[in-house]
Amino acid sequence: MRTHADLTSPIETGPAISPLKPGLTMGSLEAAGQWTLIWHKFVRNKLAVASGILIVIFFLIGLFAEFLAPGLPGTSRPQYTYAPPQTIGLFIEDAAGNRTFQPHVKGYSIEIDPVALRRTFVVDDEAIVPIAFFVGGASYRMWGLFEMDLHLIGPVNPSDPMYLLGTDRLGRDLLSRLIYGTRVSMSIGLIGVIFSLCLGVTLGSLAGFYGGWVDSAVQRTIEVISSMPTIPLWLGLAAAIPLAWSPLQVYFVITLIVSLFGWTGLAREVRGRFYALRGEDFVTAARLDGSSERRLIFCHILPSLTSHILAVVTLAVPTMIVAETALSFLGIGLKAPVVSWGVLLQEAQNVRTIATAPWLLAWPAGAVIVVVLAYNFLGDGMRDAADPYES
Amino acid sequence: MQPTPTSREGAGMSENPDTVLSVENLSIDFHLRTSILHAVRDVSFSLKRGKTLALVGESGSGKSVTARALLRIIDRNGAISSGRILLRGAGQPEIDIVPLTERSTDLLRIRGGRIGLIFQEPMSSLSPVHTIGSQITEALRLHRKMDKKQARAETIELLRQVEIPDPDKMLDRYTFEFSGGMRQRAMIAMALAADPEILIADEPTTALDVTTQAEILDLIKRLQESRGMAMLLITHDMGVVAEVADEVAVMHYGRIVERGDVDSIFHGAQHGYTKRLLASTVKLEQSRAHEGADAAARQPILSVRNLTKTFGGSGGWFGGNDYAIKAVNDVSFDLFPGENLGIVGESGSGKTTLGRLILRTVEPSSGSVVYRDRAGTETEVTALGKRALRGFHRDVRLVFQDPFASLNPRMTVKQIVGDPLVVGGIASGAELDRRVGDLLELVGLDPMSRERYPHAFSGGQRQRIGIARALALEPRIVIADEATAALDVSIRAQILDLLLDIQKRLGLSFVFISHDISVVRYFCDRVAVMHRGKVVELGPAEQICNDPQEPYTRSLISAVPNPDPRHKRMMHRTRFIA
Amino acid sequence: MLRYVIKRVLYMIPTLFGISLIAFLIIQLPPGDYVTSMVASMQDSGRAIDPAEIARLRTLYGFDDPFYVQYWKWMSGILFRGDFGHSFEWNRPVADLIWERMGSTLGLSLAALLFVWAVALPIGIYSAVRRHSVGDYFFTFLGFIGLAIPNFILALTLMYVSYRYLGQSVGGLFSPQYVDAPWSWDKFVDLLAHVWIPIVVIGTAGTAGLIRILRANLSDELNKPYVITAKAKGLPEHKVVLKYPVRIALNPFVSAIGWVLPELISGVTITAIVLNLPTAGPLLLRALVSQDMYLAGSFILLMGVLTLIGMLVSDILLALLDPRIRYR
Repeated sequence: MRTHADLTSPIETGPAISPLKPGLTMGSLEAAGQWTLIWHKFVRNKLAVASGILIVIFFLIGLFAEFLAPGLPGTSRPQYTYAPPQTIGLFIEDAAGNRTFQPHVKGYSIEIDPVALRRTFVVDDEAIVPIAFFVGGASYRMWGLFEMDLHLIGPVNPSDPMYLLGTDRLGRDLLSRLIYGTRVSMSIGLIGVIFSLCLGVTLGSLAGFYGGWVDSAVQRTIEVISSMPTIPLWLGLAAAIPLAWSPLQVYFVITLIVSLFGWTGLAREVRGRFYALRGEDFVTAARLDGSSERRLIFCHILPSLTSHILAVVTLAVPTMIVAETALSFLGIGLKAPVVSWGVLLQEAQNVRTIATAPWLLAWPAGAVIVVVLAYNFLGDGMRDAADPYES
Repeated sequence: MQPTPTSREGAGMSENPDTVLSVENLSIDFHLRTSILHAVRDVSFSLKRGKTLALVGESGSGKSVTARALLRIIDRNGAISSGRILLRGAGQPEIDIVPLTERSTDLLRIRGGRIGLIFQEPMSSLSPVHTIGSQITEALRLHRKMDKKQARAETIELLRQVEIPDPDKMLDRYTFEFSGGMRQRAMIAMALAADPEILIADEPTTALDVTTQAEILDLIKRLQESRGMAMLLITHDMGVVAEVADEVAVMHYGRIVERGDVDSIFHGAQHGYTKRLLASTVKLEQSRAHEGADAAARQPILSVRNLTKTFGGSGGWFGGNDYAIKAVNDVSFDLFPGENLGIVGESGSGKTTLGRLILRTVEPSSGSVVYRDRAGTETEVTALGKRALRGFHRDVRLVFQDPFASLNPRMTVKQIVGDPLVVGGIASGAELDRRVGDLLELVGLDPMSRERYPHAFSGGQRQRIGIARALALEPRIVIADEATAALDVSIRAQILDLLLDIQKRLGLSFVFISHDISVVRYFCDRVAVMHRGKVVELGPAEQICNDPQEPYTRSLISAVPNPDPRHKRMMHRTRFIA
Repeated sequence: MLRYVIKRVLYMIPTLFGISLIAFLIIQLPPGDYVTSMVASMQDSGRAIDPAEIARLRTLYGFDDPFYVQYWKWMSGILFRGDFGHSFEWNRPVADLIWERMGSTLGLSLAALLFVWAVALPIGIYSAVRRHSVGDYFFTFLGFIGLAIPNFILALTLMYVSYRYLGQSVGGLFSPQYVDAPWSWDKFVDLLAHVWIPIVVIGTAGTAGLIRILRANLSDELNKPYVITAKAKGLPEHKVVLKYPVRIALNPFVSAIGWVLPELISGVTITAIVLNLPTAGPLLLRALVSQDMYLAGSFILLMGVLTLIGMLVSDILLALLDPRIRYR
């Protein structure tokens, strides 16, 4: 009962595969190291790539804040309190109906509400404020190094009002403040996460590698810290900052506080992976090859961890940014004259203010949300790409 | 059954009244990210009442997918692209399973009701949070419309049929309270609950020890005969096929390359692949011509005395174990230069721990390991300090079981193989390049491939890289821990031959730890049989395999399936009652 | 099982100790103490202070004792007499001030927890079973937004929306006329009208997080062999999913109490400050700003204890749910 037609067929050497897209060869990846593979996997996630680009843009904004902001963050003009945002127009129509190209914003005229006795701003179609790129304006010290007065965009006549995002209670330009705030908020996230990283990686790898009582002690500490509700604790620590400290000191202490509670997640991740890797065959093999503990950690274990650590770090940044924002919002974090997104949101603390000037909530909150989202997408993408070897 | 050229596949076949299921020209495609994998291509076979068809193939041959397709359980990215699966039963109309929709009651009635399924992993195939009883009862209530009380009584009866002791108590236990063999029995009970006409057993014994395997195969065979079921047995093990099957279909990369009754396949294979598969299987069944290490005349290179390892027992003030486990218990043996010593045992016998104790990656509780180095100096390994231990690790090397986990995926082959040389400060630069090239050549790999990463290599090639790493320091002893267990049978034979070849060239001694008696028989000069941490028998490989003395060894050897249907071994095996 | 619970409770003790230490550290952290700030304010107002009086106050409050003595005084007072110390600002025992506030904090957190569960469970299952469907993408997107918006920003936004478009007075738990009124049906309805904003605000992030976890876990579980076994048994798909993988994917759901609760209590704190709810949050902030440290420390201690109890409860529930833990 032998039943096959083709007993003489040759032995096949591989599974039958028909490619969906022609020209895709796996051969190029055979000699590719882990970062090449990770990169290949990462760029497939378009959302993560876009988020990464967005974050870079935010950092650039922070870096060149002085140049990008049309004005200085502290300049207040009481005659323009709560001035609404303006829109940019590109063409001017003169009386004869000729359209000429001239970027501009419309000025304000003030009306007094006879009943409520409040000032309201009305966009004045007649008051044309011509604006231009690369104009001279308020002078500043670029990175504290040299004097400059060039701004990316601004009114041609520096004393004209140009408030693209509106103004606040003191008539300060929200756009300029937002741009300066970007510098502080983005850097707090970055510096805080670096603090966390050092603490988390050191403790986590010690715990994971040595095990025993070191592990127990670190584990306990992590457990205690992570079982505390974070915001009350942040509040408690931030409230202890003496009022007399300089803004720079406060900035660093706040960063420290924020990172003090961010390291636990990192340490846990590192510990877990260390623990798992320590038992991996290839680590045992390296040990039997004669590697010392140090070489084992730095040449065999850490390279396998780096990509995962990067992903976790990225996912930890938004927590830091939100923490700073929350503290500053409550008035016990950063304080004026420092400008951060949280300090800006402090201006929007009650419903009445928000109702009068919704832009004071919308723009800083929008910035926080966009950055937090972007970090999350980027971190997720990195996490998915972190292990290019899993099937 | 004799080969009868008259009963050819096709129309004539389907009229055979014993045929309960016939698969015609089945093809299954999987959509991967960049390509389509044709996992099953144009496969046809039929299952007959009371008969067993074995679907044999190595990993990736598509045999499991084929089996699951009969129940229409295919992963989401796969689909049947063509073919028919015709199910017919007594007094029932013929049903084609392929066009049935996922929600159709016909399909649900077939699943579990007319076709039962047993899997490889009894642990993960049963729900961890439901009792065994409730999982079986469910099937009874679903297909046989029993009420709770009836179903419970019937479940106890089923558990009794699959020879689970105290079925009325075990019913309320959870999966993790069962041993591996017991779980598989429970799984069988579940598959049989609705009294199906067809039983699909997908590698039912692969995860089990050889003695448990024999019992389970026995049980399946008996139940099949008493119920007159047709069985589709999926396996990679030619021994199991020879013991159990009536007919065989050999699959290779999605095609059935040869099909016939069991005797004609084993004793008259036509297709090249079948021949190759059988050759590598049978090869391992014979002992090699041993050069006969003249043991008594020489000094042992490694002497293990009374080695013991106790786990647990000294737990903290709460949460510790109340009892200690002696994983390795008072083990003694000698290893002579140029000798291959096999350590054989089932899972949990302590064989792997023994290997680790010798290398001291696990610290022994008591006992001694004496190593005699090239100069003839004896060193007590258990007393070595960190630095001296490193020296010992140069002479005594380890080859791992898992070719994937034991190579760092982030290092190139050159870095992996050269690592011991770099660490030891033995070679660098061009010299390192040359040495790595030589090593790769020695293990039969292209030296040009040294800049590649492990993911570019197949399992067998990766194991060769692991061997090259072990050889880099010119060792005198290699401990191979299940070094061929993860490989397909044809590659297994290649690796064993490679090791023997290297041994001849370099004058190595091997400690070969394995659960697979045939591999040990082929490879080793002497064999130590371990059972519950102790060495129960130690002797020449020939004697252990052909004339075992201890009862445990006898039961172990007799439980090994023999890849020759004319000499079934398992059915009249001896049982060992501990 | 009892053994497990006892073990788990014993396990809590070192953590409790750590939490109390942190709380006390916060009490001690600000430079100076209440007496120095009192002296400063009295000097500002031009009154002379008797140095003997200062010394008397200092010994009375034990400010000159070493750290561990002060810690022991505070802790022993709490443990043996239920005495949390003295609120300098309110000039009343701390214990009088905190319980009602902690009660409403707990109540709000639990309500938010129920909200989190009720929303996350069906959506999580739906997303996992219908992966990569339009609905899944929609909820995933919502989940990301939910995770990204900080509590207080959401609170402000909702406040603005309901003020602007619903004309509802927001903030507080009751309309002014009901604050001191005895409980009645109308008061309850009024409570419901107010309480949805804080619950939604507090619960959003947790819900989003839990949906993600459930979706990931359930997707993993759906590919496990036991699911195929259940399918091969002939169970219809919805029964397969609900009886087996969902049952197992519920574990993270229960253990979520452990990490969601601290988050919720955190959330209640800041949301309450924004929405001016009578919970611990506003009082804590005020105590911190005015350096009324015993009051602040007690709040922090109790919030920590609350989350610990939450974790204990979640572990016990988990053991009830999963025999593998119960029998270990």
